[in-house]
Amino acid sequence: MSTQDNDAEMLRLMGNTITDLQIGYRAASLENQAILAAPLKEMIQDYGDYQARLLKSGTITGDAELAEMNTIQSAISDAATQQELLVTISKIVALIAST
Amino acid sequence: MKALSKRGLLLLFCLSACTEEKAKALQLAAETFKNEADAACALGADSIKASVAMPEITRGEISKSLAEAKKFGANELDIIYSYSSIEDTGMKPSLDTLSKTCQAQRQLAAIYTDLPHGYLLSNNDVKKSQKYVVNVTARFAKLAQVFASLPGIGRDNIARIKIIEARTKAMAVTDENVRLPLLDSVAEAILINQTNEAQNRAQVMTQFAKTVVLGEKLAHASLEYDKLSVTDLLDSLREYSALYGNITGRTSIAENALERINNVETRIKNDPGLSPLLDAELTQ
Repeated sequence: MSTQDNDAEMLRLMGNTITDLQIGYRAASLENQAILAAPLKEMIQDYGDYQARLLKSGTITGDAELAEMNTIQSAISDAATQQELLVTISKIVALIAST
Repeated sequence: MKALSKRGLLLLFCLSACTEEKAKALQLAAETFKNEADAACALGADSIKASVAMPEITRGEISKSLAEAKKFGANELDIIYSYSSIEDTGMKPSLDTLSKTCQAQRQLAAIYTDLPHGYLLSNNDVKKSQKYVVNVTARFAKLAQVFASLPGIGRDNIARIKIIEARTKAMAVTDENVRLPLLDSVAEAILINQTNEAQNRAQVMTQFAKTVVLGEKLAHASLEYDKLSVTDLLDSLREYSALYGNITGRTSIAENALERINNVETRIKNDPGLSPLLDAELTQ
């Protein structure tokens, strides 16, 4: 897959992960929402940063990052606990920071 | 001598008037370009926001949270109030980048603003603007190409969240006679959203295509300004209007729009008059 295709796939996976996490957030109690709000904001901001970098200048995603993102996305279960959601968010934030 | 002076004055008047008309025609093209570019940028920004937006919190959802909360104080109230800010702050980087690129189109229109008033100097101003208009158009084409590659463009995240939540709710119903019609409604929502998202994407890309096509016309008009008559300029604008109708009509599909954008980029790169004006990074 070309780097440009990798970027599109990476953003698609990130977008889907955000949707899944938002659903988890909406279903969470107020206590849990208090814990999840900040990392979820950070996650959306990272997605925005990633998109902004592409809008500025081209391609950024390698095959290894894409494979890792695939693993993270498919690990989100329908009934993710708050702890699982936090772990997922932190993994994605770390992955984006490394690209 | 008197007669000659009169004729000379008349000729000068006609030349001045014609030049002013020509400048006005070019200004109209620049103004239209700015409006189309602004519309493309606004649609692009809306699309970026919609790709991560969450459904608004409902009264029913708040009631449910209140009933389930072990503790409810000022902090918990803040959590409810901050619900809608989650995606707003997050999309700032993309929106800022888009806004910076779009700013260039507004500056371009401003260059032409004084043309009809200072028409005796207008050829000089037009020359100065040639390099700018070619590069702005080429950059806008590049932006449109990146936009086309973003999978989030056209995506309706609110609809997607509602679909997934509706399916989860339906699956929790044990009575099959109730569950199956619920799932059928979800299936219908999935199909409707698929069509809506394709239309959203096409709308954004079509607007980018319109802007890029007009940018190319403006670039040519600026380059050939000395040679063009008022009629030529107006014909060129009319040609754009016809093309504009074409883009908004039967060819309003994202892929066709992208093809038009790519074609403009290729033509600019290969045009003997326009390509030498391109900045180095845009020639690759």
